[in-house]
Amino acid sequence: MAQTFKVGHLPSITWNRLHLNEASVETALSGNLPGSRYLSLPQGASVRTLSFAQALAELEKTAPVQEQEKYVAGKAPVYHPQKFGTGLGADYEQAMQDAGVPVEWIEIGPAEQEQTITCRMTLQDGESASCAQILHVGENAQVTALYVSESAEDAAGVLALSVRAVLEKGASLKLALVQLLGSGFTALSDVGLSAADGAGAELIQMELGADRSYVGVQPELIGKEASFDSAMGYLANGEQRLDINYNAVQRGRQTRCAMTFDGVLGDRAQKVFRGTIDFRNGSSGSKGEEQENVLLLSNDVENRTMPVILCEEEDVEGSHGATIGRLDEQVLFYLATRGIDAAEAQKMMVRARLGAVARRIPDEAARHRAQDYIDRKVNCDTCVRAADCPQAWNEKGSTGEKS
Amino acid sequence: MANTQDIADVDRSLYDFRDDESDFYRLDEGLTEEIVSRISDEKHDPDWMREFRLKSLRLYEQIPVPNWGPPVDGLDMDHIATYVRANTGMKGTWEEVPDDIKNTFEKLGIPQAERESLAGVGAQYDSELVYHNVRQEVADQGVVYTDLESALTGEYAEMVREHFMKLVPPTDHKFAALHGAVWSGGSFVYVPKGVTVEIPLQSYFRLNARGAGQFEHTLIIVDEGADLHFIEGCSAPKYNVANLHAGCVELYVGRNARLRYSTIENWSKNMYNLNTKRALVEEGATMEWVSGSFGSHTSYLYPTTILKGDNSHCEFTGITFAGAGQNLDTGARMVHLGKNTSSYINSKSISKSGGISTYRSSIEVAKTASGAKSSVSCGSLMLDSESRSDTIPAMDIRTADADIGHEAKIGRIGDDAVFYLMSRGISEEEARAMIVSGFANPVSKELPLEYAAEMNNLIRLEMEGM
Amino acid sequence: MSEPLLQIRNLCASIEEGELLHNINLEIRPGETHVLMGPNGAGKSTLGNTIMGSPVYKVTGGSIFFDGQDITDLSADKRAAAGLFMSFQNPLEVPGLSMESFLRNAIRQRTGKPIKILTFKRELEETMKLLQMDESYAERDLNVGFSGGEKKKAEILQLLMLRPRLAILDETDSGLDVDAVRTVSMGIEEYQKKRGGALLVITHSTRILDSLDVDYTHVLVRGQIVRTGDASLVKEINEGGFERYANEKEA
Repeated sequence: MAQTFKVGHLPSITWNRLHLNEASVETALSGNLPGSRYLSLPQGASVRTLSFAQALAELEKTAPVQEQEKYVAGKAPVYHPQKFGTGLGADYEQAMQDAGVPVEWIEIGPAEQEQTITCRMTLQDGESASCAQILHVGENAQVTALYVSESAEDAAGVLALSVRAVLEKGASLKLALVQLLGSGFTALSDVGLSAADGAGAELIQMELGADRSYVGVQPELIGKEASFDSAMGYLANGEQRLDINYNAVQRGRQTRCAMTFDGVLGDRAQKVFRGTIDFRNGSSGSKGEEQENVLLLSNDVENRTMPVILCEEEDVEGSHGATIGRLDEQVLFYLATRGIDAAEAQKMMVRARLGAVARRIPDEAARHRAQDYIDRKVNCDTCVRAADCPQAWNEKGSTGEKS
Repeated sequence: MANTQDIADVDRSLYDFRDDESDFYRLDEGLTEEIVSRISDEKHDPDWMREFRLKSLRLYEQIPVPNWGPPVDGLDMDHIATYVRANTGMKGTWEEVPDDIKNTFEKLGIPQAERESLAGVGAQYDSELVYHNVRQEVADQGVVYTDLESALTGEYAEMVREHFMKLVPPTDHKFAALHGAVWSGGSFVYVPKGVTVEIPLQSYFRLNARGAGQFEHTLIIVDEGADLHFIEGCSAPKYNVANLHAGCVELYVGRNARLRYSTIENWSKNMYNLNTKRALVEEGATMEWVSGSFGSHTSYLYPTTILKGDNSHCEFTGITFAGAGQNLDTGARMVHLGKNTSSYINSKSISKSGGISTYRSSIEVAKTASGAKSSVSCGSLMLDSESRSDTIPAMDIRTADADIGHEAKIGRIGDDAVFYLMSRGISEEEARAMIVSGFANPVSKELPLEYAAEMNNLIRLEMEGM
Repeated sequence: MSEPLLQIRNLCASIEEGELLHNINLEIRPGETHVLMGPNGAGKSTLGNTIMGSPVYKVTGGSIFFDGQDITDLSADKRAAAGLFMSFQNPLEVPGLSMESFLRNAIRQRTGKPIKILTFKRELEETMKLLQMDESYAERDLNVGFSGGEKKKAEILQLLMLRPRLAILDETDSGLDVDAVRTVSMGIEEYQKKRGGALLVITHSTRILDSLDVDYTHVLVRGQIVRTGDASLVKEINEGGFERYANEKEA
């Protein structure tokens, strides 16, 4: 049964008329794991399956101790619903809990050799599935975790993903989330991270498929010198809707956060991006930066961007930047002087922009699949409605409708 | 000027009217139709304005206070009528003016007569004369510069009616509705086609002459090819016994015209400043905002520019300095509708001694606005860790044929920069003040010289931790 | 011999991570030119910055006297007022503050007297001409968008305008082309020869020394002065490098 809930809350809200304060999801979550799932864990890792409620209770114990959130003067209301939050937020977790989604609690300690978690989910047309995991990465352990979701090109369904990671002192996690679902899917992907002293997380996220996609990431840099480094790439066309909420909370001293977002929007795609850097009291010596670059290929797209910096600490450096628009005319000209026409130049640039993110995926097979997906989409659909792409127009006929 | 006495009278009558009611009744009362009708009576409103006020009152009752932005708990919404009553009254005495304001006057070197006038307790300051002379000078060019009440019934009545609260409709938000119901005072300026007004017009004189307004309405129409610089405010703190300011500014910039609107706001630090400013810019025209926010307890201020005509352009330059106890939420909004429109925002904010400053903006590029360009640059300076500084910008882009850039930086005064200046013999305090003044320089250099000097003095005073 | 202008006794300086300068002793008399040489990371800039009073370095032992006054605990502005100057290796950019108004402020604060604007303007113009700086630099924001060479010239401009009695030049010649070195050297010569100013020249090359009369040369290795000599030591180092001093110390 479909239900409606709110996700991806902006930590400090703004004008309601912009409809940017949060996203509303209407979907039916399922308590089933994906029917076809390949899960591989490193040797020595242990797995327990818990109910969502049990897992959250356990998490309270494991999550690094934090002081009670204080009410931030003048920011009423402020969304601080969780002690250790996620990007999509408490309502999403409640919905998962209501749907009876089990949580796999994975314990990983330090090891000599490289430790890799691979979770590949292949969904059938019409399938609704969920997958929730909590990774507890022990002191100084180094882990790579890869989540790939895919289906047939035209398949429809629902996939709800939740990955929580607790990084103990000196732990490092390289997390890659690659979404290659079919054009009828609703995809929800939620991440919550906490990092203790010297722990670092790197996140590579690619959102390439689905019809409706909601992405949330909340790193909490709690310990001294904790770090978060992320690269996200997205490509939306047709009628795709994409909602992204990254909320980096910098609490510890000398924490580092660097986030980049590279996106391409074509046809009638709509995208909302919220990216927040939140310097809390006590985060002295910290640095945070975010940069979003969006390439718009059609006059029918809607691109909404909210890069937020919240700051209650003097000794920090924060910056954000955004560039939104078409391909740079000088680049087009430069390529033209090398004999490349506008249509081909556009494809090249889309591939280049997203390829740079795809190349960081720490798994060769997944990397190739993502790159193939981009190539397929670029050649088929992306330029369909773009006035300056006659080649694609001719190939597809003048309707531009997807079959 | 003849009706100054009348205004004082009606004030008393409003006051008396409320005093007549039982305590219980008064608590529940707030603003009533009777009070609003009495304002209409007193001002001899034309019928349409009378209805407009009442319609606005009903909207005011329906619209909730904003759920975003700084809290307005300090406003007594149940007794909003008391704010209206105090509107034209200014019944205070010099003794009641808080010490910090008196000190600021002292340090800025404001003459005694002007101090009392700024504090809203004095007799008319002689700026009335300056105002009169300015009026005469621009009138010779065919420029109309008058108070809005007179304009409502005078030669330009129809023009006022056509434009009044069309840009900022009372439906916009709760305080716009309140403004529509109880507005009083303000300026009307009309600059005819092709006329360049050489001297900046300054509303400061006008407002001082009549007591600082709280619900004043400024309506400026700059006709085709004309050029005007309008300056609102001054750097000395304006003190008002009632602590709500809900003014409204509507600016119409005709084809190929140019309007620069400069403000230095320094209300006393108990003020809730909920001001709404909006400009409509026609083809080929230019709108320039220069905005300094230093005063008030709480501010909501986001001058909005609607770039309606093709090739229209807007620049916004703003600075906000939030000190102890202040929560200043400021920024700008740009709406691109016409083709090849461009906007540029340069914003600076400074937070000190527990002050909160928020930069809030939105850049909206409609599908029709092909060739639109927008560039936003904002910088925030944190002077200590008790303070807070937030940057909350939004961009809503609906055409690919746009070029949108945004950059923001937040940080502190670098120890190395302070040491560098100190190694040249400059004291630490002075070095910090110099760096902050430098940070504010992009704004002060846009102001007329005497205002820029005043603003720098003001920054120095704030840096001394007043 | 006249009384020393600068007298450093057993100076130790540290940062959080540890001690960088160990028991430095140094005396400079009015009008003297001293050269401080040493390999990268030896602590040359640290010494310069510590003398100037940088808050980055903490004095953990010893003392610094300037003109008979103990300045060890004075803030940088007081040291500048006493007549000390340092040309920064990386001059800081201060947006919004014009070079001219900065200089006026600095001179006013140092002398405590109002400035005669016309005299000031004339002097500024002449000094800029000497340094082959375009007049427009007076109006530009302090060091903002200046090239490396322009920044160094601006430092020398400040040196000449502020009239200190002892100037520390921290790698003033690094990153400059031949012409710029010549111009900068001319400015330093003006200070040294015409005004009799004392100098502590920190460098690891020797180009800038060609036109200066050097009285003493000190070699700093791992935070210690391991050798002091006359001008000929510069030549010696030029030919033999620092290596042997390092070894000498270890022995």
